[in-house]
Amino acid sequence: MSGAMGEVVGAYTLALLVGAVLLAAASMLHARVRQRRIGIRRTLERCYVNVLNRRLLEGGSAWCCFPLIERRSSRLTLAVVVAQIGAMTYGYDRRVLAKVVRRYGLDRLLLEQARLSGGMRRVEWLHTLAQIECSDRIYQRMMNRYGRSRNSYIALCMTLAALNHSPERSIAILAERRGRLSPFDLAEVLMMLKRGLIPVAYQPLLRAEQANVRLLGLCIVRYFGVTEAEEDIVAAIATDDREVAESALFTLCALRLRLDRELVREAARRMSEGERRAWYRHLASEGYSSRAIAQIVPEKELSLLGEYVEQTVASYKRALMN
Amino acid sequence: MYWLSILILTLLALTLLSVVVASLRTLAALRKGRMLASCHGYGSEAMSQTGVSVVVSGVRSEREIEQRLSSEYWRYEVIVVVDSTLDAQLLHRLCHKYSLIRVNFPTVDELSIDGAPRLYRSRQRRYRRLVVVDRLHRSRADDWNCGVVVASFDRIVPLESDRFLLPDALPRWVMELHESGECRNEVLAAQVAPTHFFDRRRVAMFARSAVIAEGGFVGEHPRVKMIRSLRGRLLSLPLAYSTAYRHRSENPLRRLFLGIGLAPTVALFVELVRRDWEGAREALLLIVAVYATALASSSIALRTRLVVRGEQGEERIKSLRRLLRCSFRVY
Repeated sequence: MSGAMGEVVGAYTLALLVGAVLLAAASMLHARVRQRRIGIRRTLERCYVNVLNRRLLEGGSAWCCFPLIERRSSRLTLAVVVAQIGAMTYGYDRRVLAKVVRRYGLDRLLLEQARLSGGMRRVEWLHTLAQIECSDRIYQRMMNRYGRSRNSYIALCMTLAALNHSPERSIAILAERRGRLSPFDLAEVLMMLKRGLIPVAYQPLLRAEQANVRLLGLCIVRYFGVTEAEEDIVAAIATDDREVAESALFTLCALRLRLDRELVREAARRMSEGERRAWYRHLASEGYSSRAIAQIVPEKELSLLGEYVEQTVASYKRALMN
Repeated sequence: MYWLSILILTLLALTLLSVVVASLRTLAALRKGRMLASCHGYGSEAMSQTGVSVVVSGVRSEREIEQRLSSEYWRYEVIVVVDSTLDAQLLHRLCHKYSLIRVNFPTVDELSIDGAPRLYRSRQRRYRRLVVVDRLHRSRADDWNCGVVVASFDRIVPLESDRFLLPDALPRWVMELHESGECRNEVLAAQVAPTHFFDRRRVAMFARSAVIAEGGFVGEHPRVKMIRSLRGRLLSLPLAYSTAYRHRSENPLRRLFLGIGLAPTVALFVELVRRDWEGAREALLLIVAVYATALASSSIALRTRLVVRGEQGEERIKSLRRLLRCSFRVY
């Protein structure tokens, strides 16, 4: 080995040794500091929950004093608590929480924190911001900055923020949204819409042109068990959009509605054999009888799949006894 | 010796880089998990269109079943494959405890299974997620294939008796599945805790149709084989844990460094025999470089582990939610 290579190896070794020792020391120190910070945050959270509870109980008239609120980290903790309380109470007495947000500038703080963070931390702060009542100015700034983000989580946060900011425009917001809503997105949107705005007018959602709105409508119908929406669900099965059609079939089964319809039979014919078997198994687990399932099995497959359906259903029916 | 030094230095640099990347990916996955845990819709009924069947082979006691039935996900079932010829008392105890009754076994031609399995389900609604299959144990792959046939849902998670899913595993899996399009993910593999960098132990969620199309699980390492043959991706976080004891010599990173360190050790002996003290000194320096890299990797692992432990111990959002639930009972 040449002398130069020896020097390179030596330098590499020295740098790594120093780096390793420094990193280990920094990690230990950071873990200790973090532990202490978590302890403080937990105590503050408990305290803030109590203070806000009292304030909500008294209708916002009581003077509320949050300890250590002058600290930035404490205000962030307060913002998280406010967002969580807003979600837990489904927007009950938003006025009181909005007053707290305005007084301590929590919306501006959260937006700033999101700007300083990156990756999923940014999403976390934006999600919190979407849950609280933010001012028009902050809302506009947030939309200008993140409204066109390609990150699916940030896009979801922006949708949630828009829904929270102007709930009366919820259908329009969802219709204008680019990209398909995933089941998780739908669950989050549904939680947001529950805030004092339980949408009973499911028909406009189910009859809408946009897939996102229809998916949300089906989700609502399923969630609240709206069996009156039967005709609209069946109509949704006939759509060209595969995802909407699948969701409609799933909803029909979840509500235990009648299956012997031409549209359902047509949907079954469109499936591949594997998908059809999976669907029969799903129907069996939902409690449908073998006769009900046999009505939608295509005739040419009846001899082949009849026994399969019969046995599968029988195994599930026995399990449902008692 | 010159080329050996270059080769070893390159290998060490690459290993260190991989460790840094793996650490960053683990931390990012952890942060994502924390963000998801703070979302109210996560794991709710609305996002549970995808059903998951967990197939467990080689169960030895009831306690192993209890843990697996405790998932909070909405649409899942646990298929336990036991062999009553090995332990007749186990099936008897299970029947008694879960009020099991024998039901029809759907004989289908999707996958070929040896023997005639007997299927049991509970009469009690609270155990409706449990399916017990009694069959002669031939191999793990065969048990899993039987589970695939019985499964009512379209996603399969095959497990051994010593592997358990982490509490958040099923919603997280389903979440990741929807994120990149269900059809593109025939398999979603994850790690098994306690995990080391470059650990090859995996747990995976398969599409039932894809498993059937491949002809089922086969071979000595059926899961690994199936993961290789299907399209999908690996998640950089553990979604299951193993209770099997692992000696520290099984740590893949340790093995890797021992392997890399072998070459300069041999070189050192050669130089000593040749009485080339300059060469021996340089070989010794290379050995120290290997150990320095190992130390740096351990420091990164320590940092990751401390953060993971901090996150897991913290449970900030969950504890806050519990606190809020208790607080709002006064209303």
